Amino acid sequence: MADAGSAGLDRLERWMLAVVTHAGGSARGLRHARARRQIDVAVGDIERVVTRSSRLSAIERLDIYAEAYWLRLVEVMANEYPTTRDAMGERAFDAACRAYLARHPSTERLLLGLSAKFPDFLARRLRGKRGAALAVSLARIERAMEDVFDAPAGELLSPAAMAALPAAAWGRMRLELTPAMRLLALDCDANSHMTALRSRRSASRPRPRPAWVLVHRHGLRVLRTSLTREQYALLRLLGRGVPIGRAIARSCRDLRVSADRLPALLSGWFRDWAATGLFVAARVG
Amino acid sequence: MSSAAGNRWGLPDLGLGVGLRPAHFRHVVENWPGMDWFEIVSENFIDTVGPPLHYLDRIAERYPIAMHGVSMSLGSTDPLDFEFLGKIKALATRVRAAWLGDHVCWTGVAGVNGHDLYPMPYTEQSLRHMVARVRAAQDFLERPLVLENPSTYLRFRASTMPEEEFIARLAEEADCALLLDVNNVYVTCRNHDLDPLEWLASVPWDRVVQIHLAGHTDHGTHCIDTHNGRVIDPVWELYAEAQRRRGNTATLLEWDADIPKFQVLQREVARAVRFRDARKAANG
Repeated sequence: MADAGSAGLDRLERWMLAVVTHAGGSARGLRHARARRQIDVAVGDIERVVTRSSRLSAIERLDIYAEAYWLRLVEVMANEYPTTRDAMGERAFDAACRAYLARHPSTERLLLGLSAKFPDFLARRLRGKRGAALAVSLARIERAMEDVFDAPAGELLSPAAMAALPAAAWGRMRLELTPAMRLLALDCDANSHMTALRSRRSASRPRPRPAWVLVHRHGLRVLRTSLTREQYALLRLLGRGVPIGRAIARSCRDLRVSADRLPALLSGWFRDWAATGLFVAARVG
Repeated sequence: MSSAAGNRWGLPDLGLGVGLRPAHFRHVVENWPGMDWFEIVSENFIDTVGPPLHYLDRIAERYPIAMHGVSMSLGSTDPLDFEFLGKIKALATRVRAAWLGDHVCWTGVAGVNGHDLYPMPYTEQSLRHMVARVRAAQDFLERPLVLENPSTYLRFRASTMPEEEFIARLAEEADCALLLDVNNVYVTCRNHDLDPLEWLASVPWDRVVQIHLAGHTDHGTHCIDTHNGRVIDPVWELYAEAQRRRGNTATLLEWDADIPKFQVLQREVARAVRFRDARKAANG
């Protein structure tokens, strides 16, 4: 532990970061072991480390950085999870963000991955609480939207190129899906709820039930598409490199549709997916 | 763009520009508004190949771009992040950046990032540390760094020299360029009971290649560099003083919160025109 007045650069930096990132504010941060390991100074002696100005005490000056730390990072998360925030309410969301950041402080240069673990964190934090299914499902969709926004999309396989593929080889063909895509299995139909809110329609809170969503980027647009259980299963298998024929057989065996209508139904799915840039390559074998 | 550089690297006076923000991407590519140049926050275009990079590529075809970062953490005692610097370098090549830079600060330590511009203790030890790191970064990037004076809200008792002396010596000893943020000079001087004109008197003007203008929030007891409004008159006066001392210099308006329509930015930065050529006029 260094003397407060002569602490070296490394100790000063570690001390200041420990103080201004403490969830309880600077004064409590000063007393925390993480700060005291660097410089052991009490609030009353803080001017041995930080000077006062004519209008602010040393601890008030540290508080400027402490408040900015939490405000900035919570604001970043609020921008990433606006609908989750609306569903939870501002206070509950803010508290969840602060708890998350205390557990998962940023270790990256960029803010892109700051809240990557937030949906899982929220699922643990809200387990068994009212409204948990909606809040967590919304968070998973909004996380996916952030991820695909920045992800590479790959060279798209156009609908025309899809149509030109030899029909006889379709069953053995493997499709490569765009990396700018996420498949979500959720605990409620949060996607329809989000769509209603975004179009300023009133929406009652959906009840918990299984729901599936595709989130992907097509050009500059991020798309959210509700899926059936079979569509979700089919896309998951295709994404794992399972040939189309086997993927259809495994995912659609419980589909309640007559055999003569199945080809048209599947053809429609693939046409829509190709038209929105879901496939980037096809190969036989 | 003027080639009358007046700085030791011959970096051009790009004229008057604004910070390029996502809120204006579409307006810019749909209207190609009159603007001499844009500055980008480098980190907003790293590790993404989505829409931001798409717009930046198009805009960089028509306007000069300067890169201004917030994450190099040149004052930190953590090791320099050469992987990150590599990404900065690649982006600079991609957009043919006029120059690139960051701040005289640290942003994190011990592997944790606070995502803020934290103040240095202004000591000989800190100076040696930062000089070595700026030199290493410049060697890797193969170009001079353009470093900005940050707004600061506290001062370490350990400091043995004023901020402006620290920055001037850093620039000389690391042989780097400077981005003079006159709003930050104002904010810092308000927060530390200093005279901004005295602060400016220490600036090595031949190293200044860019000037920042911005708004801030005055809380009475202190000012915060919020970039959320117009430039106040005392900051314009500092800008005029800088132009008198330095001559015409690439000037950029930052506006990052409560972002208005692009036309408001155009009008605000255009107010700088009246201070241009001040040095020429003063010299008759």
